Amino acid sequence: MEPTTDISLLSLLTVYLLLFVPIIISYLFNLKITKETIISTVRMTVQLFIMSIILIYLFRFDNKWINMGWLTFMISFAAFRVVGSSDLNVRRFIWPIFLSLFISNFLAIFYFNFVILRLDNAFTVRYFVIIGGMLLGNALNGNIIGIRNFYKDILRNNERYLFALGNGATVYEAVLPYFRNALITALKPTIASMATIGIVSLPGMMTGQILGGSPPQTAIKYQIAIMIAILMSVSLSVTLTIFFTMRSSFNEYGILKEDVFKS
Amino acid sequence: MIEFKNISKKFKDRYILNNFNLKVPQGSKTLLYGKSGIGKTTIFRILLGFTQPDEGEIFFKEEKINAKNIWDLRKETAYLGQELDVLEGTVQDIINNILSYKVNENISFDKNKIIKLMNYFQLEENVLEKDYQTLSGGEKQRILISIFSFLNKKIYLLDEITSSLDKDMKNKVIDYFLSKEEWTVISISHDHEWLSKDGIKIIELGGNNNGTNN
Repeated sequence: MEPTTDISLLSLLTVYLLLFVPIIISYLFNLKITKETIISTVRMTVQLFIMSIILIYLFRFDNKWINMGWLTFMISFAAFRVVGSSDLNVRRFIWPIFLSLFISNFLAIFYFNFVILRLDNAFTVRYFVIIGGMLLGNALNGNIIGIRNFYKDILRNNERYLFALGNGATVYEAVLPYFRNALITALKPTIASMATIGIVSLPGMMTGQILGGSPPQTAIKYQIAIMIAILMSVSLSVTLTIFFTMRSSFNEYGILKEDVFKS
Repeated sequence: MIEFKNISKKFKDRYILNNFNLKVPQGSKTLLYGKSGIGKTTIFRILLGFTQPDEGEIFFKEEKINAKNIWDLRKETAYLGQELDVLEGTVQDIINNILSYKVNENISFDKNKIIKLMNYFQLEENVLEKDYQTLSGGEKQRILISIFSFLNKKIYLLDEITSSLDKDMKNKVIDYFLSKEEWTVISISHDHEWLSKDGIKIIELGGNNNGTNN
């Protein structure tokens, strides 16, 4: 198959013309999102350009250690995103979240490359960094939802939590309902999208592979694998994060510390 | 069994409890009575270690309560707070959940006994299958009372547990708790039905003589 048709710089400029539609609508209905739209567009453009340059070099060197280092860097960036979007105390949560994202993502990518794909060189940038990034990006939302829900729920339903403690529950027994809810809400979106994938949506990875010239039957197999790997990674990382953070988030009396959230 | 010694608690520079003293012997029945907003609930919260007093100490079995033995105290308490929406699922789910706590590992589910208790408090047998959240306040109170009576704890901390019951049921519940000799009961209530009973020590809280023990 021929390679994907490139978009020339001039054509890329015409892409931005499409922005007039949301901007005009925002102006007409006073949505006040014009500024945000423009900032986000600029950010996206700059970040992706930088990313393309980095990827060019990653592909040029294609060194095992550089690739692992890069994925680790992406994971630490993701950890900051999770903490930031959950309104959690950065100092308290950044390490446990980084650690659990690190463990679950490396496990997922190793399984993907060694067991599923059986690659000779599992650390090659094309598979390691690209699939790793894909997994990480998709697991991110689940993590944000799961971890935020866990602590917010305990705070919001504090009476329910205290009821359990006052009736002899250990901290683990008392948090169990919140833990369940956190995992369910974290996993539900992925489970739901698995049910509709292929009917109402063609997922990005699959579309990309087909555009890139892969046969559809290969693309769908990758898509199936990636969805299930995401589910594994989210469930593991939310579980690990909660376990890693629980010890330090409750005081000796089993009460949630006040500095768990950003003040 | 429990002793409060000179407990004070401030909230935003205002004392909600000032120099509160109380001795609760094993098997005794105590009523904390008085208008709302004078720190009655705070007494339970301090006792259970949910919050720390600014001054004073609490003793449990002659030992000062700290972060270690608070867990032993909680194993012996049944804590029924004012907030009733503290449970989810069917009544059966709730019982299973509470029985799954390690502290209750020696108690097995005895349907007959639970049904008997529920009947005693005028709950229908099919209440076990009902969704707890859909029940009325009075039903929730009676369910919690039945479940925790079944558990046969040593110490009962009851915060307004008769508030949504009718007069006859209030009396029935109060008499039930008073009849259990081995239970140590501390009750917070506005209901005057508690006042007219024998064998209950009444501690009136409020005003400047906040928490004086007589």
